Amino acid sequence: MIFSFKEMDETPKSRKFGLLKFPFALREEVIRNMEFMDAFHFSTLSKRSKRLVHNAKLRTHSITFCLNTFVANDKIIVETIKDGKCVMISLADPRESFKRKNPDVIDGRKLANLINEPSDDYKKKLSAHLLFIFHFKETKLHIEKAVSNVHFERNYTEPLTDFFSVGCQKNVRFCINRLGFTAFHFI
Amino acid sequence: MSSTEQGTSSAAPAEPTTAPESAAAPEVPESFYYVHGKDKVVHKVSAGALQHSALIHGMISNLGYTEEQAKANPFPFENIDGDILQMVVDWCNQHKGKPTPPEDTNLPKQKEKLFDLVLAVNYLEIKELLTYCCKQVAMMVKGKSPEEIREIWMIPTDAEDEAAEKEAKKRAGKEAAGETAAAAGDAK
Repeated sequence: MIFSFKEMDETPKSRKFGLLKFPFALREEVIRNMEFMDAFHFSTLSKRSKRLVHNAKLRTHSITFCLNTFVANDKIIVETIKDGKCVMISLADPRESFKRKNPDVIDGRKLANLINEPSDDYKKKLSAHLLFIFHFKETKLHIEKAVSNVHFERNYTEPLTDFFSVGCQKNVRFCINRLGFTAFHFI
Repeated sequence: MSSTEQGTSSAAPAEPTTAPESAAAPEVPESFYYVHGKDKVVHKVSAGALQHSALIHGMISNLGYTEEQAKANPFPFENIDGDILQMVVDWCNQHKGKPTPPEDTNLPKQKEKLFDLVLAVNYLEIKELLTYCCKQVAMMVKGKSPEEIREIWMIPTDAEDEAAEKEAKKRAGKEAAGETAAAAGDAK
C-alpha cells in the first residue's frame, strides 16, 4: 500500500449532526450562505454563535437608520448583497396608538427580545447587535423632517444616543438644523 | 514509418470537418484509478472525474501514482463511509468535464448523511461540491425560528458551553497532574 490515511481520521465519533463539529472554515462558509434573518436568528443562540457570525464576515450592502418626524415611523432598513432584498425592521414603540401594522415590516422589539444582552433599551441592543454581527459596506442615517409639521418638531439627537456613540451627535444636529430632509453616511 | 504517415494522411480527409468533440475524444485512452472507503468496496473512477478532487489530483500528478499502481493499491479513504464515497464518486462522474451548474438538487436531505458528505468533500478538496453542500446546510435552517435552528444544528446554550469548558479544563488539569506524577515516578 503506497498511501495510508488511517492516522488522518477526521470523522467525528458521534453520529449526531452538529454545525459546531465542522472545521472553522466550513462553519464560516455555511454562515456566509445563510439568509440575513436566518443568520440573525442563529447569532442570538449563544455567545459562540454570535462570534461565529461576526467572524464569518457575512457581507451586507447597507444598514440605514431612518428617523422620521413621527417616532412611530422610525425603522432600520438592511439591504442584503446576496439577493438585493431589503429587510425592514420597525423601531416604533408598540404603545403608540397610531402605529400602522405592515406584515412586511419586522417588529424590532421582538428581534431585540431574542438578544441575550443586559440592556433596557431595545433600540440600543438591536442596533449594537446588528452592527457587530454583520459587516455593512455602508452605514447610513436617514433623517426625514417635514418642514410643514413644525409643531411636531422632534429632538432627533435623543434616538441617536440609542444607536450610536455620543461623539456623532454634534454632526447630526448640525445637519438637521440646515436641512429639512437629510441622508448621509457614517464612517 | 511511412505507412503510419500514409495511414494518418489518408484517414484525415475522411474525417468530417464538423466532427463532434465526443467523436475525437476516444482517440486518447482514458486512465482509471481506484478508491475505497471504510467498507473496502473499490470504486473505479476515471482520471477526468477525479480532477474534481484537488487531493487525489495532487497525488496522481505530483506523486506519480501510475494507473498500474492504482489498480494494485486503490486509494484508501478509511475515514469515509462507503455510501458517502459512492455519492462523491457518482457526483464526480456526473460532472466530469462539464461546467458545474449553479445549484445541485441531488444532495442528500438527511442531516447525518449531509454532515458526513460535507466532511468527506472537505477532506477530498472538491471545491464545487463543497460549495453546494454548504448552501444545502444553510438551507436546512431557512425561515426557522432560533429554537428550531438550535435543535437542527445542535447549538449549545451559553450555560452548556461554560459547563463543557469547565469540564475540559478539569480534564486537562487531571491529565497534566497525571503526567507530572508519571514523570516523578520515572525520575525515582
